[in-house]
Amino acid sequence: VFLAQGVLCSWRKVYNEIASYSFIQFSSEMSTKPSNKTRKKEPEAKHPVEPTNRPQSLTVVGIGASAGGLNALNTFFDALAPDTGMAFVVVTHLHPDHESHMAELLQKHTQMPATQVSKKVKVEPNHVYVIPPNRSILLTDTHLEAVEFTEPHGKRSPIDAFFRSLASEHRESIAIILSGGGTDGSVGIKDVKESGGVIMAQHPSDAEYNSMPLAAMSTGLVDVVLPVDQLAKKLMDYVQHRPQLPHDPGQLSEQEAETFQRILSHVHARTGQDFNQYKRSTILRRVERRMQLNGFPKLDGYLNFLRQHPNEAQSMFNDILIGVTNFFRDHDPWKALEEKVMPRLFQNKENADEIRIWTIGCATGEEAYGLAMLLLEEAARHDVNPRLQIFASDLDENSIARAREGLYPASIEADVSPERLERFFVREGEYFRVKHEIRDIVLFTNHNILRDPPFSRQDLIACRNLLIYLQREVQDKVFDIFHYALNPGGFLFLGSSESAEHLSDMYEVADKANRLYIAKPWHAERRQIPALPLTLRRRHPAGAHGLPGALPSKHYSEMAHTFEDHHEKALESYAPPSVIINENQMILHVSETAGRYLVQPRGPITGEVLKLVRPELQMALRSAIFQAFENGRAIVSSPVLVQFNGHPHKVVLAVRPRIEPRGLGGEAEKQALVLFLENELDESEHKGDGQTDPSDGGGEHHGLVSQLQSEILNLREQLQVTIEEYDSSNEEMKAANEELQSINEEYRSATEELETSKEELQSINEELQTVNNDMKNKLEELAQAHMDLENLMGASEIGTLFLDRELRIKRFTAGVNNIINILSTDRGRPIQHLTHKLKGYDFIEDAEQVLRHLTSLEREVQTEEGNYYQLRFRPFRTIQDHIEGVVITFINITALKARDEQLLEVNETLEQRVSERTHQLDLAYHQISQARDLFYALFNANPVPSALLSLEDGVFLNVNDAYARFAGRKRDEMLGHAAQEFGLPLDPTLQPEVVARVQELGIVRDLELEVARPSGEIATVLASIQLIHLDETPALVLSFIDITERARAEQEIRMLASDLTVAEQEERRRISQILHDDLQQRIFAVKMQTSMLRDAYQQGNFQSAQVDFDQLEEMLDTSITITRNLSIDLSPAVLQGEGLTDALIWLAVQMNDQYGLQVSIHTNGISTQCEDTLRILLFQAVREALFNVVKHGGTAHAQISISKTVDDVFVTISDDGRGFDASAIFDESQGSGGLMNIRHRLQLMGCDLEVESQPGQGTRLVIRIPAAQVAP
Amino acid sequence: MSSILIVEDHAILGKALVRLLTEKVAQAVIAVVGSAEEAIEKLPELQVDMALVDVSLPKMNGIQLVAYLHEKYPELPCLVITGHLIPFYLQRSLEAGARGYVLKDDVAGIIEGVQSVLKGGTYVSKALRD
Repeated sequence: VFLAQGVLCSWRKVYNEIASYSFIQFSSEMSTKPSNKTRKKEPEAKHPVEPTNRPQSLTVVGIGASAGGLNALNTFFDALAPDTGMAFVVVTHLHPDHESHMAELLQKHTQMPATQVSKKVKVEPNHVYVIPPNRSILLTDTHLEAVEFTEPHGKRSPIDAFFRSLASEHRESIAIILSGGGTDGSVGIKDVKESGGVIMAQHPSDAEYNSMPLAAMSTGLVDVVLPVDQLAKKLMDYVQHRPQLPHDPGQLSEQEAETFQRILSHVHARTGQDFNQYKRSTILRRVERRMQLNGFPKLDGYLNFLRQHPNEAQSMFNDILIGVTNFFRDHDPWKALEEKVMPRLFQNKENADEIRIWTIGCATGEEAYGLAMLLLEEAARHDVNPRLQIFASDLDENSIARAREGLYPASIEADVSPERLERFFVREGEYFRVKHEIRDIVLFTNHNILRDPPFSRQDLIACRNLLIYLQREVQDKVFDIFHYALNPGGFLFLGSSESAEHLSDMYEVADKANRLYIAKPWHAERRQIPALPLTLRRRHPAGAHGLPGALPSKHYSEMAHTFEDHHEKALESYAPPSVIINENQMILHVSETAGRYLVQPRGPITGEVLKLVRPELQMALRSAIFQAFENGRAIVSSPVLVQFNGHPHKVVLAVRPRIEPRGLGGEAEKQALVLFLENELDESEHKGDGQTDPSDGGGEHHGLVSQLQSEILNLREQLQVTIEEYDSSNEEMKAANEELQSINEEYRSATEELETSKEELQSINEELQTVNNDMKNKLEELAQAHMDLENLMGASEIGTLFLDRELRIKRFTAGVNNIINILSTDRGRPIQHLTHKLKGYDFIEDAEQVLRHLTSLEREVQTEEGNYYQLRFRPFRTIQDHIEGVVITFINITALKARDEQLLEVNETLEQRVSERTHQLDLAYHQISQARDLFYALFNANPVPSALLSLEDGVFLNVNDAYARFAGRKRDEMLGHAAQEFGLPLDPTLQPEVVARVQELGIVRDLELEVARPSGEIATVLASIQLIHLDETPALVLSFIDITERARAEQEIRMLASDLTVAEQEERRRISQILHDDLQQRIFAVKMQTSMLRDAYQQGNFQSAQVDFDQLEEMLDTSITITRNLSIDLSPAVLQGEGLTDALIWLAVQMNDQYGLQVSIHTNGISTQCEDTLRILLFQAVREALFNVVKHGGTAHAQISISKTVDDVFVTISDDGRGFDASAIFDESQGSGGLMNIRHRLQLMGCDLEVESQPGQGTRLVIRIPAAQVAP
Repeated sequence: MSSILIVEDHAILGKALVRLLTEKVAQAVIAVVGSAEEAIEKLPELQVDMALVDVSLPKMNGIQLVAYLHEKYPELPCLVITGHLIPFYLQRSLEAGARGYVLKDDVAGIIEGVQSVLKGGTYVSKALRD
């Protein structure tokens, strides 16, 4: 064995160096059974196998973050050195339709090349690879590839997908979860962890979105939780601190091996789990991983750390037991299980039967729940309803606690079909919780398959990927235990790299590819429970591997035994022939030489010495044995003659009784040694003997002899009879003995059966304990609930009394004591036996009534102390709706009662006050209504139109008569209608800015609004609007004065003022023009001539001066005329204080002088004495009219006549000219001081001017003056 | 023989100017037009040594005419004559290219201005020199 191991080790070393083919397993099992395993290929053994070390291989770091995790990624790469030798793959959630600039963005934060994976690329160290949008990214061998999603948007988990591919391709990779929403990544990290990888997560308080790190942490698999910058540092530390331990535990140095053993012992002591049964290489890998994580390159350093940090042992425990599993992990085996095994579990089952499944190493429960789902689905396809029971066991309490909770991240959608999610899960935010239906059939328990008795009578045992961690011989023992626990024909479901084929006596193969096996029937009726490996160890401390040490000692004991035998044999050959018999005279041992004294008689072979011994010796022997046992000392018989080969020999029998201390059952056994001492008889002696007999005898002798002989004969006969009797009784005893023996047999088989049932009981006990634990938990909950209830009742101070159907006390609370003096010992007593303090009230009768009618009752009763109680009777209903008594509650309502009375009093007082106040109110109301009537009288009589409108919709609440008149409607038809219906002001939609101002200021005064009158005419009003509140309803009070006329007058005044200004401007221009064009030029010309004249005068040469004196004089005359006319124009002298008539006469002269127009005046004796302003205006009007005649009339004759009616005086200017379009005059004169202007001014003074003119018919201009303005 | 064009819409004053200049400026040949438009129309047919332009003309005013002449006939000097004693007009006239500015009542100034401009000089009436 040692030699083989050595060869293997070196062979393996070579192999390791050339290649790292992961499918070749180097494990300790090869050392023990190399022939079985050396060449065995296990291609599908991806996960659960031991990590093959790839010392030179590239470490790939997968980084998962959501779209919002860019900041975290930037920080991470900022803190990361560019030459770590690792490759980084960044997987984020990207928008499927948008281009991603993640790589460019990250490039700003790292010196490593950052690229988006668009095609298949080889993974290089010191590179950053980024996922492209709308693709998932997968690792295939040494290449990265972007693959289209198969899942719909919203159900994609790209981080999980990548981590899984990472774990399947690379051992000891690293997965990092950064800021992100959702639970993506928390499933994939399991695979990474299981393949020996390290899981890191950003600290939730450091992350912008912490639900992804939290989900990862909730799996319990995360090794490192740090803020993102420290995470980068930790990662670099981790890679640098790779311990250089040999791959094979056998190659550890002696000291290292010892330290390693100490580490295991320490973990054993801390956690109670002994990993000595586990494969050393696996354990060493895990220890190495912990060392690397904590930064220890050497085993002893780590041992110190382990001693100082109690939690580290637990972390190691968790790491070794990597509690990871997924739903329906490995598709094909589960499919096979569903299709081949599940239907067969239901075969031959009836309703009363049970289907029992045991899953071992259930971890966080995915496998157990998966089995439960298959089982429930299968059950739905069958008519029978056997009880379903799944036992799920694991070593790790934490995993079990999580399994019991049954809460899984939403990313399990990748493993569980939508139908199953719908049927078996309830969604809780980012998580799924298993439904009760499935939870109820699974029983989780902490159980060690190596130590605790198994659960028995299983129909299916699923134990996947647990055995591979165990050493080979331990595995076989576990298979033995499984065989015991399985029903014959029950199934065993193993992991992809586990096999039970080599145990063909226990299992037959059902499906080799999917590792399904069937348990063969037991050989015996019912087997004993196999020895449990860990229990076994306790009895043999040397351990299974301590065999070489044990060998010599065993050899020595065997040798010692042999010498003793030799000695005995030597002695035996020298000693006289002997037989050892027991008390029952059965031969136990015959010495070598004793054969000659023994003869096997006819009949069945017997061991009885008395039958075997030669007949001659029988008598003597019988008597000697008897005496020897009787007296307890050695007896020597008298010599007996025995014929050997015709020669008589004298034989003496010596019987020595002895006690053998180590008999059956520890009791001492009586034995006897029978020695045959023989002496060959001399012929002589023989003869002599023969001769002496007769010679010695003589007569007397002879008689004595014959007498003796006859006596002997008698005795012999008697003896013969006795012997026969003895024999017969002996036979009887033999029969009895036979019976006893068969009873014994039965007893023994019964014992065996008992033994078996004891084992079963143990198993059942185990189950019961599990159930009991569950019960205990429930009981605690119940106790808690009970306590809460008690406290609740105590706190409410409500007495509650439970009576059974016979009105015996079942239960009560302390509050009852106020009514009935009741002690806890009174439980079970009829309530009638107790007195109560309720005055004149028989509540027993009520209780009975409640029982009869099953209805509730309420009573108010007074106690003797004067307190009031409310009694409530309710029938006590059980969950099954049985009536099991009455519940009576006693509520102290004394205070309530007192308060009731107080209330009554207060009520009366209040009522009185109310009536007083009502009276006062009536008075006040009367006054108010008077005031209101007065107000309305005033309101209606008010000449200013006023209205009250609702602010909200503009509806009239009230209007006064003046308003109604203004609106031209009746008051009644306006009320209740909106203002806009009538086109009235303050329609909110018409005047929003006004309403806004009113709301802001409360009141708006002197607001000019334009309103349409009913006639359609637009009226201008000056309004005042006030905001008031009528019972919280905002309303507007509107009143206004009609200022239409005033506004129009003002408008006219404004226009006139403007006209006047224009006229004045015109007049000034005219004067300026006269001054400049006529007067000035003439004066310039005159000046030039006089200047020339002066020069001539000074030179005395008058002839040369070309001065035309006539012309000069004429120019001066003209200038004088111009100035004169101008001054008359500006203010005709005739207008100074004289009447209009005089002015008209002067004007007629002027017109004739200047323009040759003959004007006749007919005053008709009418006085035209009037105010100066009007007179000047009339003068101007007439002059303007005459100018028009001059300009447009084409005639030399005009007539002015004055006429009069009662109201008015008319001045008419008419001509007989060619006539013209009257409107043209006004147009033409517009803007000047013409007729238009004059008409306006006349109108302002209450007068008017009209022109009647038609081409060819002359023109007639009439000025109307109110008679009141003309003096009589 | 100097040839002078007078642009003056007041015929009386125009005659007075012809009389004045004929007598006081030796051998002056003088033509009179009543508006700027007429001046522009007739000018190509005339050989003129200078123009005497009244500011107040019916349509196009004198200053606009000076500007036009100054651009079209840069060699033709213009003297503005006016009744307005307004420095603003003086300034505008000089900007338009006038060589002088004389007031109508400054008879000696008119003569002196015409002579000065004909000799290639400039002239502004005394009252406006400040």
